[in-house]
Amino acid sequence: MAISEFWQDAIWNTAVVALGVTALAGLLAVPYAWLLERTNLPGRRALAAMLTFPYVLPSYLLAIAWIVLANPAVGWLNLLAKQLFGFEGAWIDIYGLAGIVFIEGTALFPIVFVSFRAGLQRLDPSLEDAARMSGAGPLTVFWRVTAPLLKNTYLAALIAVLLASIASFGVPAMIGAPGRRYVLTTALYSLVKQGSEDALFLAFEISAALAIFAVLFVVLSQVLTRRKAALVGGVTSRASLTELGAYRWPAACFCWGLAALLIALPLGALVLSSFQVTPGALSLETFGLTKWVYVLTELPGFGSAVWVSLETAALAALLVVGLSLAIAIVAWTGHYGRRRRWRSLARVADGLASLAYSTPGTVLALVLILFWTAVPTLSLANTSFALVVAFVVKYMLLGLKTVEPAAFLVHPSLIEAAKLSGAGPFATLWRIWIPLLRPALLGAGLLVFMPCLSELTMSILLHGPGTENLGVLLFQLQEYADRASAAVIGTILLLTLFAFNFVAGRITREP
Amino acid sequence: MSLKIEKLSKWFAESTGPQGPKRVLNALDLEFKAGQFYGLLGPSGCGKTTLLRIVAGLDRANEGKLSLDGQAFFDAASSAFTPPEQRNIGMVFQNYAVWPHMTVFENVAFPLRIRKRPEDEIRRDVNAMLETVQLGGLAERRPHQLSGGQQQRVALARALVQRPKLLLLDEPLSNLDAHLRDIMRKELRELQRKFELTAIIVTHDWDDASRLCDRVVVLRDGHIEQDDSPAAVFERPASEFVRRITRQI
Ligand SMILES: Nc1ncnc2c1ncn2[C@@H]1O[C@H](COP(=O)(O)OP(=O)(O)OP(=O)(O)O)[C@@H](O)[C@H]1O
Ligand SMILES: [Mg+2]
Repeated sequence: MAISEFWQDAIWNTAVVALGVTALAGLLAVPYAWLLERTNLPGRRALAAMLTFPYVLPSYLLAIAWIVLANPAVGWLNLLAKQLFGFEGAWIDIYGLAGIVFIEGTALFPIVFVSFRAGLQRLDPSLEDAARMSGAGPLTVFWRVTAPLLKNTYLAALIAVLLASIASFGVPAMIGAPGRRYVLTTALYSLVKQGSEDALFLAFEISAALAIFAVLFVVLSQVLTRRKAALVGGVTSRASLTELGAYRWPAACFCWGLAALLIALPLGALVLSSFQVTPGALSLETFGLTKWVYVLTELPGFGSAVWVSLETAALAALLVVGLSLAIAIVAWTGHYGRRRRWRSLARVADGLASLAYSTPGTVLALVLILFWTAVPTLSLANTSFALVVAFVVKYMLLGLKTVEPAAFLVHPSLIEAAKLSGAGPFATLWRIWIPLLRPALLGAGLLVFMPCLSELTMSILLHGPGTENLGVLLFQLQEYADRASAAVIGTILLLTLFAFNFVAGRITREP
Repeated sequence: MSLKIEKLSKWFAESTGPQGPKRVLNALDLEFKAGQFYGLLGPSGCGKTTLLRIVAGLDRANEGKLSLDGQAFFDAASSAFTPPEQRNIGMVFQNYAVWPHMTVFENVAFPLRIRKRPEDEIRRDVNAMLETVQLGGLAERRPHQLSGGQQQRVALARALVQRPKLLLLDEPLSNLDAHLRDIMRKELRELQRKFELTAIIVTHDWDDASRLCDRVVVLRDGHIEQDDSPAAVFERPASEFVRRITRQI
């Protein structure tokens, strides 16, 4: 198959974006993680909470926020530059590949940050202390001891970012597509929107290539993290914090300033712009509640979108939790009981789940569409169950990763004791397993519920008339240039996810 | 090298009770004379590790002064502080802390590489040191291919190769079986004499302290209960608390 120029561009753009995003996220994460975990930087805990928050947000929220701030015509930063410095024309233009890299990089940065920081917390501090006692300064210790020991953790996190940036749809659709800068996911989307059978099959071929790519990287990342267990020694003491001395306050200003610029500024702008009634000049009179009233009472499709989002996310979360529990018990039985083969069965499920998780959502959605075209009797097309099925497939891994380790902590004697007390399988499940695993099950449910609530990548392909969810509605509003309404929905999502994130933090901290 | 500790106090902000922070070390005065082997003895949680880490520079005391051969390394009053990498103190950690990503040779060579010694000198010194701790044939092994006792010798070699004048040992013998423990005690004593070291060993165990050390310091809740030769501590314990420790009850 000859690849047209359109696809060559898309492949090239995807590569540029993926590498750029990975480099940006990787470069930012290491100094942040080190400063927060190993020095006496002021306000470390608050900063860590702020830096990890974008993790639960769909990255397209940052995209609409940056469009508010930095679109060339009426972006707030550009207007400010004009008003304050008499700057003519556009000062910054968010549209284009650089904009995608910047936004996606900030959105995916928490993946590397969280995993590198966890690595630092797991690392036995005496390994670093021993290097200090051997005469190495803090930076030498980092390069000669810390970095080599956490190399694999870091690479695995970079691979996760690489895959996520290849798979991302919302940001390139909003930031790249207006200037006809397509990446693979947005190109596939435009092809499918044309609707012809040929287009669908071409899309499928390209998807297959993307999926193979994902498989390769998943395998690589598994190889990288397999030996991690050997490193996790018992942590015997607390890490000694490097005193930053004279650098303490400059470092604090830089860290807080950058975090404010990358996270607080766009999210603040998003919320504020939902109150902006008329775009254009920045003044107090242009702000008001008009758009909120409009969205909540008049906007066609809003009520239905809220319902679809809640319904599909809740159903998907329930299904994932149920399936995870079942698979976890199978794995547990295989591990502790005599049914060794059950363990392998669960391993297969784990493998499939991580494969699905790393396959781009666009590809998963296309596979489902093709399947339903081929087998119309099973078709769920145009129903909200189409979304639920896609969500369960995509996010099954999040459930398994939470529930399985918790299940393995359950000592066999607990289950045997239940059996000896006369509990049948159902009673054991209901009275023992579910209460024991309650925090993990709740945590898994929330972990799945949150991304589903604001899902866009798969929903945009799978929704039918009347089954648009909030993500799709927001995307359509953004496309039809009703940005203020989009900002209202974005703000609602932001606040909801913030609340859920808070609750999830509470639940998972429980022992 | 002699180490002098004056009015040293340490508390952790996290463990603040109703009457202010609880002091882990309470106005300690101690002197460690050059070329002597000291034992730091006391129950779990009495502050032994904390004291050792403060001497090493891995932690900072809240009050007091610390000097090596009359030169102040730490002084809370003038907030003078020499970072650990400039103190030239050797330390052996309880869990050995041998770097898993380096061979035995590279582990021991690390302090010399940091000091930018020429390659041939590094090779000579490291090999000599590995012979001294009887690890001659194992230079190219990785730590996970070593037994606990061998890892301990690597840690010891790494601490000694930089020729420190002060050696700190945090319960180095507690993870070893009785036989190996006996061998290591003798070796430690010999090495200390050979390199004319001032050494401080933290231990729970009266046998370790009495067989290894010239002097024993008994700590209790952050203050010194007794500081004397092992024989004197055994025969004339300052309190019932010390007597119990020496009789191991
Ligand atoms: N980073 C810390 N924060 C708060 N409290 C601490 C910290 N490190 C030590 N402590 C407290 O200081 C006291 C002394 O601890 P330390 O580790 O020095 O005891 P130890 O004598 O070495 O005990 P062990 O024999 O069990 O090793 C303990 O009560 C401990 O809880
Ligand atoms: Mg200790």
